[in-house]
Amino acid sequence: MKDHDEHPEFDEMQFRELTGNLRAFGQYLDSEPVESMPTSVWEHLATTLSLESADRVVPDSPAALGSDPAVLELESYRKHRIGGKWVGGLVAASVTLFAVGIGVNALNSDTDDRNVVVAGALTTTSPQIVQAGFVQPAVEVMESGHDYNSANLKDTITRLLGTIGINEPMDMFMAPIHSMESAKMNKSTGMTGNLETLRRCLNEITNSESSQAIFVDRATFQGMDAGVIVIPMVMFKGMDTLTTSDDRMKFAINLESAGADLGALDVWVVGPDCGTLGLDIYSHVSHSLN
Amino acid sequence: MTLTDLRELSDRELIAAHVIGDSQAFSELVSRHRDRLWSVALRTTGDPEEASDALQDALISAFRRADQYRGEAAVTTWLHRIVVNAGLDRLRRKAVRPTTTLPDHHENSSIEIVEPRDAITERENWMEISAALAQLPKDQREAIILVDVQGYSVEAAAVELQCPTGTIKSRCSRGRAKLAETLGHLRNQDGNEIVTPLDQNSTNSRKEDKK
Repeated sequence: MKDHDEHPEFDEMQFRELTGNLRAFGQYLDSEPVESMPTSVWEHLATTLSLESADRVVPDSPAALGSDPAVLELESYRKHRIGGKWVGGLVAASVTLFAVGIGVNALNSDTDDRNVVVAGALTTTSPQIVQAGFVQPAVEVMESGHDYNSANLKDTITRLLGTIGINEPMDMFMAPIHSMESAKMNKSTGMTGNLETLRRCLNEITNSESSQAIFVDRATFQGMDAGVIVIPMVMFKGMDTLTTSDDRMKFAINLESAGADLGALDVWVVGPDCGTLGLDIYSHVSHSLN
Repeated sequence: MTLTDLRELSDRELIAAHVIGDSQAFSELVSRHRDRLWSVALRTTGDPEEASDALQDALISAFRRADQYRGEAAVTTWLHRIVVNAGLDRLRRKAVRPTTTLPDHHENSSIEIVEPRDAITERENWMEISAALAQLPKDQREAIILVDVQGYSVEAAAVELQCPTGTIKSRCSRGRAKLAETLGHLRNQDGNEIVTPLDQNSTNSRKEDKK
């Protein structure tokens, strides 16, 4: 009673209608039917939680104490909007990640800019500082000489990915993102004439200056000069904001743990002038490496 | 712990697993209740874009503050409150005005609290209440949400917010006074209250609150 005497207006009878409305509001919030969360929202949340998980240090854990070999140095991760959709804001921080229970085979282990992943623990050989700026537009550029068409497009892509060592989704994220060399650009004109042109082409397609195709094949499509561009779908889910191989691989691991389909591919068949004169789209399909 | 193992855990066990460092427990918890949480965010903000952002704010907050979960209420109730607060925070920051532009699928929402009322007007009223709550100082709003919106007892709210019961009552009192002023125009808009008088259940609930 004392409290009521001190707060006589707490007596709900004085605000009977108001408190009734508030309770009804609470019932409205919790009422049926429940709306289904859109897939895009869920994927976005799963990504966010994965990043949050990577940024987490549990007090008193070996990682927090800094004494465990499985402690990683991550230099930063950032979030941004893609096509108007919020994915996060730039965060620059040095964080540690205690990664356990992850076993993935390393690919092309002769480079510095990569993690070496071994069963049971994730270690890094050379944590690099992010070099802002130009991101290679593709991991691999080739000229297969193949004449693609709608019927053989997906099978051919799967086969060609195999020739460059990509047989499973995670393989796509093991390759260092800064390793491509201009020497691989054989075509003298058009979209694969030089790295800058191909970069502009990717920019047009992905609306991101740091996206990266897993491979680009300058070939033909139904007899027409064309470029086949294969981009992991996760590039559209925030991976493009990460500019080191370390970060991208961890991002992929987290997404995979959250149930995302890492093998989903966005395939564009474009005219040879992509990145120069304009973007002609001959075909745009989804594919999966799974 | 495998995903299969996690799926067999209760909500409280998932929170506990998260707190001690399981990297997937929290995601499993959110996945389990995602539609309910989405609905709450959508109804609080009245806008899918805001709801998406609010839900993200809420879940990051819950992720980081999971060790503060007291276990007094169900995990879903705890998450529900955090989502509502995040939604109201966004309304406050964005100064979103009450709107009638909710998605079409809301047209079929079964809001049965009011005897026959125009559904759009009713949603406008809910959004008015959301907006008014958003304008309250955070401490008052949290107390009002727990006690008046979610039906906590004063004592349970005091435990949840880690303050004396007198503080909860004081915050509720001040918050109610402001809300009564802000929402006064909703009263008897056309000769009726915006919602019907309390039903039997909610009356009982408040009686329990006073115990």
